[in-house]
Amino acid sequence: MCQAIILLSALLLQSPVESDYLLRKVPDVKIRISDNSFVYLSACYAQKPIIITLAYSRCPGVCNPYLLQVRDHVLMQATPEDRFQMMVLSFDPEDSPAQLIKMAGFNDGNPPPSNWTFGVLEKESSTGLLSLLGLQVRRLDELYDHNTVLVLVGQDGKIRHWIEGLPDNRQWDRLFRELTNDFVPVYSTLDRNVWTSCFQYDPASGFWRMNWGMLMILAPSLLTIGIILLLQAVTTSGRGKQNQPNPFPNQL
Amino acid sequence: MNTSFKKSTLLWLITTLIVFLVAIAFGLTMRMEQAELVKIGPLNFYVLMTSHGLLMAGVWFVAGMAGIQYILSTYFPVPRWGGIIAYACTITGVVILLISTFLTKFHAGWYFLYPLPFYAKVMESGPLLFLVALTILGVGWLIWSLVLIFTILRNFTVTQALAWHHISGRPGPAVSPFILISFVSLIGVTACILAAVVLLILYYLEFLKSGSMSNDPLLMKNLTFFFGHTLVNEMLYLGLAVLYELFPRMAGKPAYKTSWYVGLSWNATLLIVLFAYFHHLYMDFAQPVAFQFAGQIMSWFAPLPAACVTIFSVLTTVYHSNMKWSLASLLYFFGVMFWAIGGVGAILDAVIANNFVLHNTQWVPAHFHTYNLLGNVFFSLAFASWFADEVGNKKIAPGLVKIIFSLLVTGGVGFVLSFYLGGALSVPRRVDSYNEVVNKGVSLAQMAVIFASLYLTGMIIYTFDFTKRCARQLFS
Repeated sequence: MCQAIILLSALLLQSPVESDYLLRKVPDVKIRISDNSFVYLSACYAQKPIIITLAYSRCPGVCNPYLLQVRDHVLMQATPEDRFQMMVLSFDPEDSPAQLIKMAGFNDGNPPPSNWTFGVLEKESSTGLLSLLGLQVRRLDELYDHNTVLVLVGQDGKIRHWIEGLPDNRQWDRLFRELTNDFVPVYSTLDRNVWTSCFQYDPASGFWRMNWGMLMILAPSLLTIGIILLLQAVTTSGRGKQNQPNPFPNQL
Repeated sequence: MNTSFKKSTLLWLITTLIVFLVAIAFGLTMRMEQAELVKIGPLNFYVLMTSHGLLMAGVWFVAGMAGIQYILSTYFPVPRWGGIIAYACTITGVVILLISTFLTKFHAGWYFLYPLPFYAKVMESGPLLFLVALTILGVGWLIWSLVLIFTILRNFTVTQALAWHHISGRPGPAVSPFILISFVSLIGVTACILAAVVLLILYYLEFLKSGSMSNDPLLMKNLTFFFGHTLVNEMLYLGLAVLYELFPRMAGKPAYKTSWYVGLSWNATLLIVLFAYFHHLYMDFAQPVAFQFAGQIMSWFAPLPAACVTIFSVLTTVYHSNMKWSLASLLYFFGVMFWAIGGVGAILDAVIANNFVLHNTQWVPAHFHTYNLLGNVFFSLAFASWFADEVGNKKIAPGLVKIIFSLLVTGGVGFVLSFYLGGALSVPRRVDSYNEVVNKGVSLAQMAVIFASLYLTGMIIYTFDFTKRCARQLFS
């Protein structure tokens, strides 16, 4: 029963980490989108919501497979291209938009859709944005050690959805529902030290589990049963003397 | 039974009737504000809404308990101190409650849903006074409830009081429906007051730690509705317990016996009512989905045992009877029928698909006013009428019966009809004024004012007549 409730509730709940980023306004950074043309992020999100992901083309690790997977999922979505923009940003100043396009599996014969933008962040302005988007980057000689994030930025410049790692189907579904302004439930996860919360999220295992709060919903009923049994025990001795075979009253 | 129980019951009933008149006046003022007949502003509207809701829930709960205590005292000796403590706590609690709402402007609604009490624009002492008032009320009522349970358990075991031997057909002492329903209701009352205890402790902890601790809104909402929904249901059942005792006498028929199906239905009610409150959390997506299904299923099952068995019993009692229709029997009979109508409205709202449409409309006050104003209140007024006829110095005048009954039914039906129409037209509840989108709410509120005034007139006449016939007994 408990497992079933956890599973059912997990279907409706979000990762608690996301609440650290939701509704934060992204800084208006300058982005290089070709060798000599630039665009400001605010000019992009003012037109349409943007799905932003970050990668760099020299990455020997996760960037290439991650970007290909993201590309496949986004292209499979039924949401029309004119409803959103997809933006792939590099935090490596030595990168170029053309290299990012190539890394995403596009070429002259298979160009990226019109709503896709590839750009490189300027070194001086990237730090604030990366921190706000939750990208943890560490320089290792010529390369970078980093995590991967996918962020939905609304037309007001605020983060509407934040996913670390490759989204699963449920997260993709929620992201696009958020994008099309469908109702998306969000459960505030509060401080993790709140011992009265009904659920706790274990980041290590990724599972929700019941917490003391859920037990406290049962407490009144359990206490009542205890009190009734206690009263029964207390009254046992006197009951035989007073018990009437037919207690219907006549003296009303 | 000694005369002290007559006096204490009389005191409870007079207190109840006076507080009821005050609470109606609060409600009427709210509807006048919505009807644009007076201008009190949103803050005072919510102050009145908080006071009105809590007074109504509290006053008819204690009226039901007073009825139970009186009838129970005709079966067995009942310790008096439980009722005395409850009365002292009720008066003290109500006074502090009114101070918290009218002087410190606490206005978070009758079920003070978390975290509203911490955000309401109110004097600093407001939330604390409000919590203190609820604590005093809760302590008094819990003690009273436990004393009455103790009285039953001094004479029956738990399984006997739950009529399990009647269900299984095994031999055992005869347990009347009154004892069974009272016991079932008192268990529910104890559970819901204990839920309030847990809730209040969590509120106090957060209040006293002033920001260093916060509670889980999901837990707080579960506890709030465990308390609120269950209390409101149980107070109806308290009235029904007395009905099961008195109604067959009024019809000149033998007392009801506990058959297997009566026993089974009330045992089922004991369980079902504890889970039905989940339907208040349909909008809370974080609530486990299994609980939502439980809320839906239990809401559908809730009326089957208690309501169907009771309606069947009442109809068969009236059929081919020598019923002399008094104010008491009229109020009992029509109370059961209006309870059924309000129950249907409640079930419609408890269907998840409907709830998404009806939840924040006037359909909600429509259904709960139907089974409270025209159901539960009628049960307690019926008991009070019967009681006044028993202990008063004279019977109520037949002409007055017609006037009071006509005013209560006409006023009550018209009043709830304005809410039902408001629900059908998507007029929102809990707002002090209506914009142009829902301006039909204004004319419906005007209609409600007229009918509520009729109901209030009926209640003033009832209270005056009751007091005139019985007040002397209080000091004799």
